[in-house]
Amino acid sequence: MSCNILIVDDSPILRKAIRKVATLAGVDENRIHEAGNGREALDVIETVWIDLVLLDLNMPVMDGEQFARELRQNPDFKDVAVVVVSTEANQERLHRMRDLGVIESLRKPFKPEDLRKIIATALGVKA
Amino acid sequence: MNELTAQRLAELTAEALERTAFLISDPVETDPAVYCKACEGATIRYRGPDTGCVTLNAGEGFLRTLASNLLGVEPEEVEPLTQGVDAIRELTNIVGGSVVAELGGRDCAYSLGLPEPLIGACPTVTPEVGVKRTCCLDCEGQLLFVTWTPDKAPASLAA
Repeated sequence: MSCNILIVDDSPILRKAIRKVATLAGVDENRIHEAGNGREALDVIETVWIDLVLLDLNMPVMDGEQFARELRQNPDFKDVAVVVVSTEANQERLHRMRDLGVIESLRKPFKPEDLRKIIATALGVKA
Repeated sequence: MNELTAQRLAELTAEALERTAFLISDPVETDPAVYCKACEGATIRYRGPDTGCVTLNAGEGFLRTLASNLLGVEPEEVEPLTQGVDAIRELTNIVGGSVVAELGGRDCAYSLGLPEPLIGACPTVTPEVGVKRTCCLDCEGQLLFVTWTPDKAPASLAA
């Protein structure tokens, strides 16, 4: 699958687990990028074309909400697909994320199969 | 405030372990003497309609088991101070998220902070607190203790 994915999570170990699921979903290992917070994610997205962002919300330096806000302010990136993968249960905050164009939210702990389906759907391939 | 029993806490933690790390766990009785020796872990605070924290405590063996399952490597290949700590921090984050979702229900108004590692910080069991809000899980022979500490305890859980 020739799509680029960006995993944004402050936990290196969780990024690795998500990377594994993305690979199982058919994403080329070399097309999976990682960032440890929103600031790093914006740096990546400035240099690499990204089709889908898998975004944690609670992170140091720049959280997921601030990242999404800054992403949407840039006309070049306003259509990048964003899926929230987080422990977040606060409905108000999740509503704000939907307003920022987040297409799906997956709460941790997630079933790997659910994440695989979401990645496949977001990238427009059969799950 | 909604209540959370030790049994429910164990169920939420078992689900997190199974889904995140493919680890099967069984609830066992909390032995205060063993609990006090579980000196590695992490804690996360929540705020919203009320405040409190969720704390996970375990020994280095559990950190190795957890990280090895998440990374797909052998337990002896795990670097406990980096990968082990990252693994327990993330598990704490996930269990904390499950706890606030349970407390908040459908219209959850709780928010989580960032998980803080507790390295070499052995838990204490005071007679006032006891282990009423602590559950213990046996995970492939390694024990994991999970404690829910509301800042203002529901009457039924008060010592």
